[in-house]
Amino acid sequence: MSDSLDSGAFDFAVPPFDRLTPAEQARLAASLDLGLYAKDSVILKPGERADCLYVVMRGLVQERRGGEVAAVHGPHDSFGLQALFGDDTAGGPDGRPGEGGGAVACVAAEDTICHLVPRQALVELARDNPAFGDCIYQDFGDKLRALSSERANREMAALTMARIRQAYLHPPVFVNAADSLRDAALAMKRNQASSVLVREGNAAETGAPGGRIGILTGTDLRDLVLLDGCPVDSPVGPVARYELLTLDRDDLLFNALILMAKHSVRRLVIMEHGAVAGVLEQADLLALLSNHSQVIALRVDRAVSPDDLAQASQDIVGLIRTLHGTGVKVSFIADLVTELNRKIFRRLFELLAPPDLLANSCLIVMGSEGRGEQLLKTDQDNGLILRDGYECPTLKEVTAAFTARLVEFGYPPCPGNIMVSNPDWTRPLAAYKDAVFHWIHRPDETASMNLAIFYDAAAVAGDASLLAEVKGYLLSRLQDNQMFFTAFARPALAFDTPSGLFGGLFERRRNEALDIKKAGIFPIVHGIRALALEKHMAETNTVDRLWALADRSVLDRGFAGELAEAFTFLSTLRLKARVDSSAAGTQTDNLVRMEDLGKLDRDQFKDCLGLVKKFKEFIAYHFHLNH
Amino acid sequence: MPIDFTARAKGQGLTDPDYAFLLAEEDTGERVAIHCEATSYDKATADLRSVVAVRIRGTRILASQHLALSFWPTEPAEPALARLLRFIGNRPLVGYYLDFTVAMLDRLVQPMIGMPLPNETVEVSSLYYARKTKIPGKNAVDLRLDSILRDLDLPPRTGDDAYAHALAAAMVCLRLEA
Repeated sequence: MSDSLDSGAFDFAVPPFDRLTPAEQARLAASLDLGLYAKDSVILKPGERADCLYVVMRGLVQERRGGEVAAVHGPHDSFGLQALFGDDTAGGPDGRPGEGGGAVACVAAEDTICHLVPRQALVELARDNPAFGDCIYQDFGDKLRALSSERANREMAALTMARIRQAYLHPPVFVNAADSLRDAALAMKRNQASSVLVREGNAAETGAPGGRIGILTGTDLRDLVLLDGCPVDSPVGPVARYELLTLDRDDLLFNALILMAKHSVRRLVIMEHGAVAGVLEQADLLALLSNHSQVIALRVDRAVSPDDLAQASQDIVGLIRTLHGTGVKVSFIADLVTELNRKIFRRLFELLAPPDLLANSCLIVMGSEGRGEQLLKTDQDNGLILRDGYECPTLKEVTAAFTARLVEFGYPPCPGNIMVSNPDWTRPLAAYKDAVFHWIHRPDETASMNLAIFYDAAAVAGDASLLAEVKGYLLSRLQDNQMFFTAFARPALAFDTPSGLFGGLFERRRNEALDIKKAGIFPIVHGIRALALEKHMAETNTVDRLWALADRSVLDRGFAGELAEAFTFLSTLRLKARVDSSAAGTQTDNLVRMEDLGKLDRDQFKDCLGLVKKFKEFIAYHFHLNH
Repeated sequence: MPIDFTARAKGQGLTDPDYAFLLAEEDTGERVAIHCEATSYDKATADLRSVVAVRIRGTRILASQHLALSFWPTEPAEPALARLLRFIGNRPLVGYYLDFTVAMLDRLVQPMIGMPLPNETVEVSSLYYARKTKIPGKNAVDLRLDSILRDLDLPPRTGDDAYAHALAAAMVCLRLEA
């Protein structure tokens, strides 16, 4: 152990503090305070502003983003720059804390002592000593940049890791070497192919080993017949090209892209187990790569008519398939899809609504969309808050068109009719407040559900302060009324979660499908929502809420971690079922059949259900639901 | 507001109304770590040489705003004591061998305002002793400040002066309460 670590004195040998002159060091030393933090105590809550820079003297501090440890700080390391200098606009436009925002919590992993450098002292020293200032601000800038590029990199990496298997392959169209050019052209036309594969050797031996395979493209055909004047009944054998560019079906898409560029060709023959599996066309390859979220986002931003948006909306499904196929984490997909869906909603509303309506209203999405958890196009749950006293003559037409367009894009209408086209959900601010009052003080089943989905609401377009005001009113109306919370939390137990003894029974009836949403996802979402509401929390995402509850010691950290994992796993399972089904793109049902699951998935599924059961017991105890 | 009888009883003798704040209800949530240096360890005869006080706010030790006072036999102690009383106010006092520090101060404070310091006191060696004796066993508890610091994995004292002692006491207090 070095001397500097052993004494409690501030170590000026560590950058950036080594840039300070002795006089400045003395100034800094005189301005230092000390902070002592017990193991597992929270030093900085997510989003909390700091008034000082923390320099660890002893112990260990973890920066946690959600459940992940983003960084670890040991002695001499400093942290809290972001909380000190970061501004609130770093959050996402939708009001959720953005990736670059203050979503990081700093937690003492051991008993920790920190030197605290007050903001004032730091700013003054940075001003007086430019070398020191550069160090501090550059460090800060680097951290922000690193955060924002992390996302883009993850997605790009996922796309470059995609396999050819995920792209569309044109089924091979074979002709024999003895067939005429006319036969080849006919085969292309019949199969809507732009090329044919020419098989040399005996026509009867299909797929004979050793027989050479060549390719003849539409362009070749045109050049041969029109330019070179070949007779259309001459055989294809001698004119086909036999130096095929082939790749294996499990090769990377990226390699295909490189090979095409290198040989300036537009198609590759794809092999599987030594046989031809199909032809990969450049257009299909590019189509897959253009599912990149940035391309879709760009298209949404440039859309000048709702029809442009329809195309972008279709592409999201492709993006989900690709990302899911390359094993990207489901939470990341949800983030991305949420962002794109909200972009589409916002753009559509901007295209349809007159400017004054845009300025005097707030378009909100609720339920899973508000929580940022929908993976595919789920039912529309949206509403419009109008500024008090504002009247829009064309309101009815705009809202009806908005809902109709979304249906056209593939977002099914809400069975509960929670959509802007319903006057109950397109109301002035005051009417929303009245509704909230009603939901809280005269709770019945619909009121309770409305309150639940409204608590999850997020602003998408227009003036977000309108939503903030109603939400503020909602929280202010909630006294610590045990009766209310008991009623509110009760639906979390409404559906049975088969596990333990019943799990055994359930397994015997394997053919019966289980509604994964009712048995697993809903109890977690609603239970966590009730806890979050009780603590007046502003987070809307379930996993964010989970970690925030852990930070407030409502839930044990370990338990919160397990729950978050279970929630993610169940969501992944749900997505997998949907993506694999033919009706991918829209959420139709939530049934999971045990027999369809692999052994590993099945075991984990059972563990998750057990955990959900445990969580339900916790909720029942916490909200006194058994009395 | 509940009536604090101890403070009232102690306050019977207060002669200087300027110091009534010492008896008010504590409302800042802060505490003050304090330590003194004197010419000997005999409470009755030693002369006070210096006092250092450091505020503790929540889990933070406000070291940068500490108060350090020196006393000389040739100079009147009242102006320095007045500053000290305003600094500590009605906050609880925290220290190691706090009895001695408080006794030394009381000898000067009593004639000045008519009563001894009414502040609540937290002796960190007692906190440590209570913590240690919770664990069964007959081992004698080493109550030397440096041993306590080592045992609690706190940094050793940076010096032998009153400031280093006050800082160490503050850290021990925060660590044991966490």
